Amino acid sequence: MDITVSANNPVPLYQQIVHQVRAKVLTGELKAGDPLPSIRQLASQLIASVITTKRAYSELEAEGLIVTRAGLGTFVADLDPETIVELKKEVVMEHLEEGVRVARQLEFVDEEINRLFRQALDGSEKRV
Amino acid sequence: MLGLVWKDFYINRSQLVFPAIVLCAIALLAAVGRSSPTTVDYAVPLLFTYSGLMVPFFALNSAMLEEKNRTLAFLRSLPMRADAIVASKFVAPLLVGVLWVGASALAAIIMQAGMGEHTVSIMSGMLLVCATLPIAAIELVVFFRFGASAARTALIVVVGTVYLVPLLAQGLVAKVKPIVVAMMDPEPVHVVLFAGGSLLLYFAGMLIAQAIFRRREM
Amino acid sequence: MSENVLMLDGVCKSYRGFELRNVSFVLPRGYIMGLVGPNGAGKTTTIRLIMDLARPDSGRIAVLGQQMAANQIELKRRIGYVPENHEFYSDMTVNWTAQFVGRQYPTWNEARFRELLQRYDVDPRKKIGALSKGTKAKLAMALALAHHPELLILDEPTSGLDPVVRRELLSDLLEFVADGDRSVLFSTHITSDLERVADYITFIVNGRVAASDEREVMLERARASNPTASIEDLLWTYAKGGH
Repeated sequence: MDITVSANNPVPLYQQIVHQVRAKVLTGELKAGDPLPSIRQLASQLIASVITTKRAYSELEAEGLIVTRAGLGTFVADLDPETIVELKKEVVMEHLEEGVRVARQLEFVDEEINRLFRQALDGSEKRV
Repeated sequence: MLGLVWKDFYINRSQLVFPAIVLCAIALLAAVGRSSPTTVDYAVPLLFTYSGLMVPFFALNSAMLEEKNRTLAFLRSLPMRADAIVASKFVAPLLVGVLWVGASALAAIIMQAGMGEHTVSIMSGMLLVCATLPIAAIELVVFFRFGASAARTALIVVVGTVYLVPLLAQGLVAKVKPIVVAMMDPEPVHVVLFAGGSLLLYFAGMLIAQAIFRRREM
Repeated sequence: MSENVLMLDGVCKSYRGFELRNVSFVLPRGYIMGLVGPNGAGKTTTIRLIMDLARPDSGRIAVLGQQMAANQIELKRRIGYVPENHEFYSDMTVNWTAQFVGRQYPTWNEARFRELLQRYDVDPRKKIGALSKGTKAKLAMALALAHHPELLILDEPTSGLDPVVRRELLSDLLEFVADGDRSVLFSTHITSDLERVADYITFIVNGRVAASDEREVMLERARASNPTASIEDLLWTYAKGGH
């Protein structure tokens, strides 16, 4: 599993792991049933502490993205397409909500925020 | 513990080289038939001097190297008993003394064979080595309590005392003379008693040093 | 298998001019704990007390579930210890030193030692005195790892090492605990090493334990008020007397 973490990143290490694994599952890079390294193997691979990887896996399991089968290891969960779409929506919503939060902090009203959002949408279309 | 003794021998091997060369030279000269009264006149005091030096100086050198390398703490961190560390520091010089007595006895025998007469008493050499045992013991006890520099000072002080006391106490000189004479050609019984006593003192010193080292913080 | 490989409870030790007071912390098996604190805080003293190189005035210390004083040899065989200033016999070669040390440990693995030497780029024929400080540190590490100890105790293992070697060493520590049965305690004042590798951290400031907990837990608590809080920030806070 190709993941990197950086201690310089303000995002906590375990969350960096969660984000990257989640992204791989949602984009299909990791398919249902694919095996994942054990907590300690991942820790060794990333040069991160065991509790960090343990926590990352706990969260991924709570989100339903991975499953641990006793004695066999950890695998990507079997997710039906609807759940994947739902999860993707959740990820996007997380980012959008963050954008809204920042905009409100900077004292923009809702119409302005909406306009900024359309601008961003058009802007990225042009870049593509 | 034997591993430690071997380690001490190996690390302090320079201390053994020169005396060994001297011994070989003496034995060689004797074997080649070059022994003469003059050779013996040089050889005997030389052997005697070394007999008096071997044990305490080997012990001192061993202590000083250990301190220079700061390896006592290293040894203590290894899975070995602190008592074994101390024991090796006592056993190694003793072994050196025993080897020296044996080797010089061999050299003396070869010399005697070349001379055809009893030239030097093997016993007196052994006596001298035994006499240095308590001195080395004091030195090592001081080392384990205060360190190598203090041990060196202790050695100087003890040796100085041993020489000075008879000089200062004139009355003792008369008493000392017969002892010295006896030392030059002692009776086996006296030698055994003396050796036994010295060894007892030596190992008593070892026990004291072990008790000290056990309590010492590294 | 004992649950806690290290247990300190109310350990006190006073020297002239310095005092270690009420040091208590626990290291569960299979994890890495960083002992952090400013220079002179008491990290080395704590480690020396654990290794029975000094005796506490009061309090209890249990190593691998047992008392060091009573089972010194057996316990030391299961511990790999790298002190801050590792002193070997400077006139002897690496090979001789390895042979001398190896004989003391029944679990010594010569092949593993040679493999580590090669990886750390240490010339086994060189005399100890000819080695640089960094190379001696790597040799000390190789000697400690080669007998497959259950507990590694390292005092400032990365100080004086260049960043590449430090990374390597940290990677080796993670590999060391990978089987879940081995644990590491290492003291350092280089907090960046702990940012990723330590499962638990014990902060020692002025001879006292300022805090001891899971690294993640402590960071999360700190990030509640300062989103980019790091171990270094925490150390700064504790060193200044805060909590």
